[in-house]
Amino acid sequence: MTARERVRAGRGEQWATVRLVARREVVSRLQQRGYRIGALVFIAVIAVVAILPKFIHSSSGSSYDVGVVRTAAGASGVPSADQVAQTLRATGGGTGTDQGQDITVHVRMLDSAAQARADVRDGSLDAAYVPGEAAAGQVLTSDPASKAALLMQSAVRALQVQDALGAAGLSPEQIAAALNPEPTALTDVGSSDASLRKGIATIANVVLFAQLLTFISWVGMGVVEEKTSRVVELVLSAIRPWQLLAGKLIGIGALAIGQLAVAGIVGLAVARASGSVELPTAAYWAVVISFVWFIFGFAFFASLAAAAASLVSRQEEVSGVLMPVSAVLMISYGLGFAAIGSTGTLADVVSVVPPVSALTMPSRAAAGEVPWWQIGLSLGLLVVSAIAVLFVAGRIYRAAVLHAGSRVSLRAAWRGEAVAAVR
Amino acid sequence: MLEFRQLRKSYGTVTALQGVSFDVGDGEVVGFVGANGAGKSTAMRIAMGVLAADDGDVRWNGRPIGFGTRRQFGYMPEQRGLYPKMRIAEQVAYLGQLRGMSASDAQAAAHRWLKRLQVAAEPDALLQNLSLGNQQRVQLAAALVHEPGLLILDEPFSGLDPIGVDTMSEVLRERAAAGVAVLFSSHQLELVEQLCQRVTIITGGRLVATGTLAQLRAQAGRALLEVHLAPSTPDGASPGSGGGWLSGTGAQVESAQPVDDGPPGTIGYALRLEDPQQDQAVLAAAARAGRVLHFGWQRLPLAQLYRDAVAAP
Repeated sequence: MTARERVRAGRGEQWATVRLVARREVVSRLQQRGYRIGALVFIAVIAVVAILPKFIHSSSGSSYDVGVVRTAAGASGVPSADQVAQTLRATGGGTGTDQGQDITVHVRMLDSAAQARADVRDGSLDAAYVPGEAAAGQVLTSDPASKAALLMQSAVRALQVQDALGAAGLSPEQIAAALNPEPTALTDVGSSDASLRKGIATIANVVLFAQLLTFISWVGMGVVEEKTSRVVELVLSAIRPWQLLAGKLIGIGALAIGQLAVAGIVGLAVARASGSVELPTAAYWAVVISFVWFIFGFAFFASLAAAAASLVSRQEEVSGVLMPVSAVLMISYGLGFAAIGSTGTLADVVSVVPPVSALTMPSRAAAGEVPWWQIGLSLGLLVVSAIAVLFVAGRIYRAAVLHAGSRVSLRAAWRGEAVAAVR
Repeated sequence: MLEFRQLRKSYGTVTALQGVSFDVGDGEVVGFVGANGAGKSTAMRIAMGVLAADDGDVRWNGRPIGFGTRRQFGYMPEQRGLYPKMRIAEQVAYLGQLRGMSASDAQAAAHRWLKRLQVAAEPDALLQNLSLGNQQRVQLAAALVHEPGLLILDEPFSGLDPIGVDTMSEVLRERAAAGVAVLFSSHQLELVEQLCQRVTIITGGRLVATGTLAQLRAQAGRALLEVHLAPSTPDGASPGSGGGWLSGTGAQVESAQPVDDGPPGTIGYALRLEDPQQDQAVLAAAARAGRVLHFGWQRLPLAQLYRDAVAAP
């Protein structure tokens, strides 16, 4: 075996140890019921979010209840209750279509204007028509912009026009022809999906933030668990600190990425299968970007979390010592929202500068077009900064992790004064 | 062989070790004795590489201990610690794998040791659901799983019930018989006396005695010669006569304390001789005075040796 081969074999063995540690991180968490439930809830929430637009759309009222007040035949030019009811049934009744959506109009005959007013006010009717004695009568509604009121007005107008044409001496055939001209053609040119893409960007931002926050606290708790239980002393008499840290980050990171991948696939599949939204290609692209940025964002924030957590020895202290890390994450989250659909210099800057770019670039890329060079620069800087932080964190972790009891100061840890024993 | 050579360590202004040297041979059980804070754990942690010495070093088979060598040691830290939410067999196997065992060897060894140490729990029980004594046995299994050539055990007996103590003692003897060097610290001095070929006593970071029990007793320099006899004449050797038979020995007796734990009608003395070589002269004189029921150098218990050693200036 040559010297080089020996070095390579040694490295292989070192990474085999890292794999062992990573595997333990994954397996022991998957064995915990609490963890499994949390992961399933997360994926279920994503599935619900993906299917939600369908329910919001379909419940947006394509069925209307309207009333028509029965009156004695009014003056000429005033459509009678029966006529209005008939017209309404014809246009919307049964099932007509309006802009590609099915609409249904249920017509109910009412006995008095007072009843009509009461029913509209309490919401049991969307609108009601009260024929007038001389004029065109009135449409009662609680929402003047509602489609029901508009439908009713146009029905009355159609009857008035028909009446007027008859009075002008046109035959019923001529009237029918005049009232039903060749319809203008409707051509669907599609939309820029701007609002849809903003929605996807928002979801990406929220999901990435929630995932990072959850999993860096898993890292922090994992580090302190080893200190609290003192098992770290036994483990570090067998392996090197960097191997323990790397294994922990890789193991928990793999769980985080796995969960995100499952959630992403489930989300896209549910959205497609339910037809809740037409997914633009950009949606897939956004998922890919989110995924890649998440990996390096996780490396950055999780190494910081591990280093911070190694300074303390009790679980109660974890959230306190992780505060600065969570704060940076929250700022990134806020900027991620700001970057959605924004085209200013600020958006350009925050989506390139690490570590905020971990959240801002996926949001921005999902919401709209981003120049290629910015995407490349953002990724490059994020990767470089994550590697740099990994080294700093490794140094702090190595010095502090074997120190039990009081909190280690960052300065002492950096100098390696805390223990400085482990080679 | 494990050698501690001139080990020094301070924590800030507190000196934990001031030049401690001793060794642990292969197949030898060495007891490490000292008060709390005397520096035992510090020395053991330095040997295990989880603490750095300020000066001096620890050697294994004549060479400074590198990472690869240290991985082959078995260790039980003072602060017990395993993963509370991990299954015990998996955990022991995992720790074996971290020390370089293959997965299948580690699993087999983990099951074997859990059984051998009589851990009263299913192999897939979570550690946190075990009693403290059983957790301690799992901890020992974790130290033994990879068949180490050296065992460094910090207070392995604390927290064990009598059966646990027996099992632990048996395992340590058996390992030593298999050629393993064993160093363990304990406050249970009778146990140390029973188990150890050699003892190292440390106080205030300073080594005050090291060697076999016989050597320690000799070093203690206050060996007492115990004589019990039934006098041939009622007044021939009565205590009242000031131990008249003693004057006929010709030996220089520094002090003679009456000991009266013998049968009625017998007399006993604990003698300190100026020259221990004169013990035979004392025996001859005793035989002339009556029937010698007991004659021998007193075996000071370790507890006494320890008290004397740490009390010495």
